[in-house]
Amino acid sequence: MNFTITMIEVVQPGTLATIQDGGRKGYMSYGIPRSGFMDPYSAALANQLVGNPVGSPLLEFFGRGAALRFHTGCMLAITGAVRKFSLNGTIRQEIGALAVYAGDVLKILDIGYGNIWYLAVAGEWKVEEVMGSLATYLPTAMGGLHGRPLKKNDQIEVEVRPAKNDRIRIPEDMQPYYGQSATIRVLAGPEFHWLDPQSVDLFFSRAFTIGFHSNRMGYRLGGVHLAASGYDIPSRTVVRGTVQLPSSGEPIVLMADCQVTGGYPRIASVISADIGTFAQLAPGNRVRFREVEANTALSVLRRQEEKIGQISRIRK
Amino acid sequence: MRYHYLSDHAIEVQDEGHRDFGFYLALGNFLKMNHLSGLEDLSYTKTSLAVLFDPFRFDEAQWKSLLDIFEYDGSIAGSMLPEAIIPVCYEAEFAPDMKVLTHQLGLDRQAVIDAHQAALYTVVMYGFVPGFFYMDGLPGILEIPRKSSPSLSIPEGSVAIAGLQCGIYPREVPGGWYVIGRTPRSFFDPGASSPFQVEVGQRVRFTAITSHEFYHYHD
Repeated sequence: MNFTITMIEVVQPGTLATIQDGGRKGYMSYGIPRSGFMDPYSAALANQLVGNPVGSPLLEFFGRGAALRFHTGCMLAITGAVRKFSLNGTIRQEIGALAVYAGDVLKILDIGYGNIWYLAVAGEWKVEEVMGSLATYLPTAMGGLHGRPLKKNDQIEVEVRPAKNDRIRIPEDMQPYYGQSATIRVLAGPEFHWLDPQSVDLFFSRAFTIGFHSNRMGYRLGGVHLAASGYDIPSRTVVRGTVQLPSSGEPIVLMADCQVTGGYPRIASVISADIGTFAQLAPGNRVRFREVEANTALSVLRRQEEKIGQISRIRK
Repeated sequence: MRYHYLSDHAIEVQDEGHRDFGFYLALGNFLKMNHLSGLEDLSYTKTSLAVLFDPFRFDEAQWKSLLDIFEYDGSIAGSMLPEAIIPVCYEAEFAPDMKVLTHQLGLDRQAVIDAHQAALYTVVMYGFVPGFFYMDGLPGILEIPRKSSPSLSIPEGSVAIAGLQCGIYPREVPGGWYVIGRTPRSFFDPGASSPFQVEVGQRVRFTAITSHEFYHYHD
């Protein structure tokens, strides 16, 4: 096979654009956050659509307004919250994989509901790994492109594979639905029983609002105040999906860039299969929580994996 | 041994009977050496161990049987490593909190420096921010609660104390500990092949240097 290096040029980065991948694994004992995709399902779809392994690096964008130029032809995939984009000025709406040619400019026009979208390119990224990963961790400027968000005129090198197909659409039933509200499944956390009985009811019956101070480290929830028998624990491990309860009574859901330990009660955890749907909620959107058992969490995740696996069959 | 799930991809051992970080460190190493299925990451605090796993490969039966056969012999991995000697400049330009600290502790500056330098420390965990490590062994006369409101910016290399612990800020971040000096030595280089300079369990000593030595220091 012939390999060509292409440059992806950032014409406009939009609200926030970073390089992400499956995350930094094996360094938590040194205090290193895992980082990686905020919406692993949409990211896996994008990678599979172009024939990359699911944890491969891609570009993650928050919001609209991004524009990219491709210096040579390549196969790319767009997934996540995008509703409308343009290629050299022609409006397109399909989410999936498509071929682009030298000089093509892709513009994201409308992201509809949802907050995050992905762009994967068939091939291998020529960006240096930091501790085994290309994931960008902004708080300490680690990984990705010099540890920072992409900016205008940045160029990213990708060694591209020639395209097999020139267009693949994602089947309707595989497209995740993003709305302005979602019901998210959780498991009870180690300090769940610290919640007073009334707060347990509130947690599972009321809608919380996604706060404006939400970012890749955590989403703050507002609108409902919970009470617990205490708000301090000795420093303990937290993971993506952990729902913490600080003394303000307003929970925080920890996301991809969360620190490795925290000192607030861990009242619940969002199941892995729902973390992407949750991540897609934008500030001001609403979320309800529903408790499930661990085996449900696993079977839902398995169904999701099977769906993602179907993509490779569609590609052939 | 008591454990519970943290999420669908993490499990935590936290047992009132084991309050020793060496126990959790040994358990983590044991799980790794015995190929716990699906193991992806180990996360330690002083009194707990969490294992992050691939939910499709983790096997609770194997996990239970490994916990059953684990025996802690009291040894601390990392304690066999040579002591890490950390140069610190305690001079005023690097010790913004020294004044308020001496006032609160009722000690003079030299007494703080002498006590800090005389002690032998042990690295007990990493956490807070990437590359920050907590050391036990701060002498009781230097014990002080965290600041009630954190400083907005603590420079990289700052050596700081709080409670009965000492730590080094690997880069500029906000923080609530009292800064008593700064080291020119780098302890975290994310791009290097070995990004970390000390291991959990390793012993640490501090040695005073002048500001002239600080500015001419080479790793």
